[in-house]
Amino acid sequence: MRYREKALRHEAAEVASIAEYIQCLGVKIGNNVFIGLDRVSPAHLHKADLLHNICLGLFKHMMEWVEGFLKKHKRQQAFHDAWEEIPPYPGFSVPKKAYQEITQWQGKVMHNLGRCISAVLASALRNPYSSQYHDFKSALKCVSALVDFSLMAQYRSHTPDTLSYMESYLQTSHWTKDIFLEFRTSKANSCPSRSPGSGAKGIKGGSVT
Amino acid sequence: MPILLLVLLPVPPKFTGESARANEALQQTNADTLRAVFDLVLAPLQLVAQEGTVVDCADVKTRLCFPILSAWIADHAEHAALQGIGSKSCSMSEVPCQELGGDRRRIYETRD
Repeated sequence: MRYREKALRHEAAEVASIAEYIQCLGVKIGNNVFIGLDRVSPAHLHKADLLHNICLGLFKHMMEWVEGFLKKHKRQQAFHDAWEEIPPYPGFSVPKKAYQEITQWQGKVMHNLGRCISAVLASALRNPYSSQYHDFKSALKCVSALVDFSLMAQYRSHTPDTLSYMESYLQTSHWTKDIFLEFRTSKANSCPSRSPGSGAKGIKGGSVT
Repeated sequence: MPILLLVLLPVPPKFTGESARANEALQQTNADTLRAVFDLVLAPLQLVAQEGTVVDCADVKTRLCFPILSAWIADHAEHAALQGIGSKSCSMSEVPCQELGGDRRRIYETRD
């Protein structure tokens, strides 16, 4: 494979050994199960899907931020109360457990969460103090944008208009997600200041992947 | 969409933690086992992938076709295990983990 050719050229990269050079590329030697198979390109096998990228990826990160946000503003109880008061609706399954009792967030539960989180959070953040108004508004805007994005991602076909809607929702979430920066453990230490530009820059490392 | 269950992939035993060498040996055994299972599962497709197969098409013509494995639906941790890359590495391109989420205009080489 090409890594072998690269390894033979490792001296040009000024690293100590072939193993170190391969390690620099983020590869473990000899473990790729797809190598050597005909008509298989390992790099192109990864495809975005709703279960892994939206439900178990984007929503999982989002809820970690939301939990931190609720804790900071002492709105956890209001959130739990609103969660338990969700009424049944055609096509929507009411959560059987209280929010804090759910230990394993499976795809179906996360999918269900996406359909009610916007309303539950809005209810939990109602009647803010004047000092909280701006923060609550930004948090709701960010969560709503991510939910809108996930709902449109479920469309079975798209037009240029629906794709531009998705782009705008994603942009909105990036421009407003700074409100959650202190709860994003991987980013909080590396980004000390909350500048508008830092949100868009963290797209891959923060929420989407 | 028809779904056909081919095989349940083996779940490897946990690392004993006795020594780094024992863990390394177990890791290699796990990788070899997984590779053997994949060879077994994809063996029927491999023969067709090399020689092709004649398929009747909707326009009443017959064509020599080659199956291409186009997607593997898994999360990043599973992709990292299957493709033998680090947990912080990108499965598509050779972007260093420190540069993930960095300059969006920069293009990195595709892994092959």
